[in-house]
Amino acid sequence: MKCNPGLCCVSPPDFGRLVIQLMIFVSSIFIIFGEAVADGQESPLVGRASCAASTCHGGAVDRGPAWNHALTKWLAQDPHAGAGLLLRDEDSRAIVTALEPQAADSKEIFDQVLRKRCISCHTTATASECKSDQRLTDALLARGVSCESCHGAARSWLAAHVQSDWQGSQRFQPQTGLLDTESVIGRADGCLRCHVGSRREDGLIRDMNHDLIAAGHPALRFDLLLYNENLPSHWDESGTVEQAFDESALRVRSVGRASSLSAAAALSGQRAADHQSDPGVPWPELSDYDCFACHQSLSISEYRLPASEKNRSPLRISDGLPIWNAWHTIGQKELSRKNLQALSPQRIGAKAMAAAASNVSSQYRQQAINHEKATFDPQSVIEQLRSVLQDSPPRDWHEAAIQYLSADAAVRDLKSKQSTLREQLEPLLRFNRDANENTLYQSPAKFDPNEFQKAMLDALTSRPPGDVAVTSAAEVPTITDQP
Amino acid sequence: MSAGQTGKQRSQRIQIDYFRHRGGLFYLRCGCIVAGLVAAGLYGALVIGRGGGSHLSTGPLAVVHVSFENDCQQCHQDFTPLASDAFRIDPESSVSHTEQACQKCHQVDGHHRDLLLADWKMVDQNCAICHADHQGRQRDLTAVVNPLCSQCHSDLSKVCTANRSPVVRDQVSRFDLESHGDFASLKSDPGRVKFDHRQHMLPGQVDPGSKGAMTVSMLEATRREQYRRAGQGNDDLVSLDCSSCHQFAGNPDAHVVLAGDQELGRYLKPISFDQHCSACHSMNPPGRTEDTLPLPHAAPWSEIGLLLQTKIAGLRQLGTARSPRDDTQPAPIPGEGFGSAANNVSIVSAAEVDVALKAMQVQCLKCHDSASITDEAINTALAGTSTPLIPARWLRHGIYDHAAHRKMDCRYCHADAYPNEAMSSSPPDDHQQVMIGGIETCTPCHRPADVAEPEGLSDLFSGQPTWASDDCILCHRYHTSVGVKR
Repeated sequence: MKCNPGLCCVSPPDFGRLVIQLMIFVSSIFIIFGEAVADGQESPLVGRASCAASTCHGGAVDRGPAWNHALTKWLAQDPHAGAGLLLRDEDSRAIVTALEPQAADSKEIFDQVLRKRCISCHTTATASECKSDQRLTDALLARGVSCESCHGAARSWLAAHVQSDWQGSQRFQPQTGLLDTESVIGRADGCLRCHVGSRREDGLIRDMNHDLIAAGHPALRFDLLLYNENLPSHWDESGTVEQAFDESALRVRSVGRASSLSAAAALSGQRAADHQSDPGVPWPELSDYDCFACHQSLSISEYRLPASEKNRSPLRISDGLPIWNAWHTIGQKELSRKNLQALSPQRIGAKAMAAAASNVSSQYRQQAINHEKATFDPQSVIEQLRSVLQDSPPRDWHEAAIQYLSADAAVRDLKSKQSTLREQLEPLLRFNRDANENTLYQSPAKFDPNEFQKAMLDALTSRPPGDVAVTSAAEVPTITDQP
Repeated sequence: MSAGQTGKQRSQRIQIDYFRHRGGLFYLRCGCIVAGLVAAGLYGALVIGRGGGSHLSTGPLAVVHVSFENDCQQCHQDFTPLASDAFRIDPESSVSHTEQACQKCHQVDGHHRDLLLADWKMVDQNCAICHADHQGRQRDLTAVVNPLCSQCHSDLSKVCTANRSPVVRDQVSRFDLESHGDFASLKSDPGRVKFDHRQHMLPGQVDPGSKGAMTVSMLEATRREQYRRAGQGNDDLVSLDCSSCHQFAGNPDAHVVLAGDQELGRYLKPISFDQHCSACHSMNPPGRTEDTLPLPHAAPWSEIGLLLQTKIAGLRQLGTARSPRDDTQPAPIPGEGFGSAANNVSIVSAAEVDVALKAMQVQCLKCHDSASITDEAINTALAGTSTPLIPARWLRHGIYDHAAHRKMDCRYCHADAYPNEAMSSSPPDDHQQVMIGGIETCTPCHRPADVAEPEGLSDLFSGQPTWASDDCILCHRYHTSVGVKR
C-alpha cells in the first residue's frame, strides 16, 4: 500500500520511529509509575503522581489552603521523599554489601537485597514489588515514602475523598482504606509501621533487624513527639486536627511511647512466630534487646555497670543481660516483671514469646487509647523527675534519654518561653559528643550519668515557674523505674 | 349622431384613400426622427471625440471603486472587433480582460470552475455577474443574492462533474435542515485536549457535593485579578464563564481567506495554555513557591529536564528544599543531635531529574494524549507546523460571527457545555463531544422574511425581533485566495 504524502504527515520510516517512541514512552510511564498493574491484578496504589495536579495537592507552596500544596512541600522538604534514593548512595552500598558481600560485584544481587530488605520501608511499594526478582529502577526508589504509605493505598478511597461528606472519623473505618493520621494514636501507627517495624502490615515485611544494624543501619529509637515536630508539616498547622497535638506534649509523648511499646511487642511476637514456620527468620532477634547490654566497652576502666552492682539496675538494663527493648520499656510501670521476663529469650522459647508479646502488645495498645483521653499535669511530672534525680543519677543512657524527653514535654506544656532545657541537656546525650570525632559507631560510652543528673536538676530548678496550670490527671505518667 | 344622416353620408366624412395623403403629422414624425438621429450622431461623435468617460456609464461606481470613476479603462476595454470585416467582440477576451482588471486588486481563485461541466464553462462568469457595479455609491458589491448561488447549487449534478466534494450537498435551495443539511464539520470533535467544560463552569470547578474547590487564593498571584469577581476575597470560589477562556478575535485562518474575515469578533481567540489554563494549572517543580516561576508549557523535554535540575538545586541552595542525604532536623534527637546536612546540595542526581520529568509527564497526560507530548510533537507545535490540538475553526465550510450574536446567551448554541442539573457528576472529559449546536439553532432566526417567528424565541433578544437574513453569503464565501484549496 502506498503512503500518500498528502495524507500522512511523516514518512514511513519516521512513522515507525514515532510509533516505537510512543510505545517506549507509554511503557516507561507504566514502568515508572507502574503501580497500576502488578501480577495481573490492579494495584491498590495509585502513585503520588496521581495527587500532583496543581489544582489538587501540587500547588505552589504557601499559596491557598495547605492541602493544595501538600505534595509540593512534601517533595521539597520531607525527608521521606528522598528515603528511596538514599538506597543508591555510598552509605547504603556499604550496608548492603556488608549484608551480602556478593552484592559488591553484582547489581542484580544488590537490587535483590534492596527489594527484600529495604524498599518496604524506604519506598511506597507493594508486596509484589518487594518480592520481584527484576532489577530495581531508580523510578521506584524515587517514589520515596510517599502519600500512600501514611494515608493508605488510595485506589479504594480516591473517588470518595473529594466528596463533601468525606469528613470526620468515619473516613478512617477499616473498610475505607484511608489510614488515620489525625488522632495521636493513628499518627503514631503510621510512623511505627517502619520506625519500629512490622512483619504483617500491608502484607509487607518491614523488619529492620540486628543484621541490618550490624551492617551499619542506625538503630531505631522512635519518639512520636520529636518526630512529629521534626516532620515538615504539609498540613494545616492551625487546624483543629493539630490542636490535639499542640494541646499536650505529654499526652502525645505518652500515647507515642505506649504505641511504640505495643508495636515493638507485636514485632517481637511476629518474629518469634515466623521463626517457628521459617527457621531462616532469626530468633532470638537481637534488635529486640538493648544494644548496650552487649555492646559495651571492653576496657575495664570504662565498664560502667558491672554485673556485681545489680542493685543499680532493677530492670537489669545494660548489665550484660539482654533486656527487651530498653528504649520502649524504661519507665513503663505497668509492664510487669513477669511480662518482661517472658520477652527475654534466655528464659522462654519462641512459641511462648509470641504469645507473651501478643499480650504485651494488647496491653499497651489499650494504654495508648487510655492516654489519648487522659489529661496530664506537667508540673507534677517535673516534680517527679526532680525527686527521682535527687535520689540517684540515671542508671544508663536510655533512662537519661527518656527523662530528658519527659522533661522536654513537660516544659513545652508549661509554655515556658525561656526554657533552655534542650540546649543544656541534649548535648550530654550525644553519642558523638566530640564534633571532631569521626566515629562509625553510635555508642553512649562517653555518657556520664552524674553530669546529666546535675545538669537536669539545675535545669529543672532554674526553670521559671510554670505559667500554665493543668488539671491533675487521674493517671499521670511517671518516670518511676519500678515495673 | 344626428338622426337624419344616412350611413353613406356618415362614411363620406373621411376620404377613402386618406392613408395615401402625407399630412402634418407625418412630417412632424419624420422631423423628429431625423432630429433624433442627428442628435444621437452628434452625441456619439461627442462621446467618441472626448473618449467616452461617464457618458457611457450606467451609474455611479460603488464607493469602494470610486477612484476609478473617471478611469474606465482600468476595467473596460476599448471596442476591438474580431476582425476588420467583423462587427463582433471575442467573449473570452472580454471576460478575461475584466477579470484580470478585478484581480489586480482582488486576487482570488475561481469557485471550482475546474469542476464545471463543459456547457457551464461557457456561461458568462464575469465578476460583474455577481458584483455588478455602476449601481450607485452605496451599492454593496458583496451582497450576492441567493438566486445567484442556487443557479448551480439547486442541482450541482447538472453543473459539476462527479468529482465534486462529498460534503457539499447536490441540491440546496433553502437554508433549512432538509435542503441545506446540518453542518458537516460538526459531526465529530477532532480536538485532542481532554477537558470538561461542565466542571469548569461550576463554582470552584468541582461538582456539587465535592471538596477541593478552586479559590482565588489558589490562583497564580499575578492572575488573581483576572479571575476575581467584584467583591470577591481570596477565599471565595473561582467562577468562570465563557469569556474566561473565549475572547473575540479575528479569523485564525485569515491567511487563507479573504480580508474581512479578520474582523475582530468574527472568531474566538485560540485557546492557549499560558493565557487560559496556567493560572490554575501551572506546572510546578517540586518545592515551587510563590516566589519562583513554574515550568514552561510545551518546551522540549531536554529543556524541562535542565530546568528541573536547576530549580531543585536552587531550592536546595536556598534551603527551601532538602537533599536526600540531608537529615538535619529542628528538634534534636537524643544521641543523634540535629543531624547533618548533605555535603553538596547542588548535586541533583540524574535519577531525581528523570523521575521528576516522568512525574511531570503524568501531569501532561491528564490533558494530553501521549502522542502529543513527545519531543517530536512538541517541536512541531513550537514550529507551528502541526495541526492545533484544539481546532481554531469549527465550521470549516462556513463562517460565524460571534460578535454579531453577542446579545445571545451562549447556552442557546452551546447548551452541552454548561452544567446539567440532570447530571449528578461530570464525565471525566468531554473532548470527544461537539458542543456547538447544529443548524436547528440557526434556522429559527435565519429564515425567509415571510416566515413567522417560531414560538419560544421572544426572550432571545429581550423581546426584539428575531428575524435574520438567510442569505447564503452570511456564512459562505464564493472565492478563496489564489492557490488555497477550500
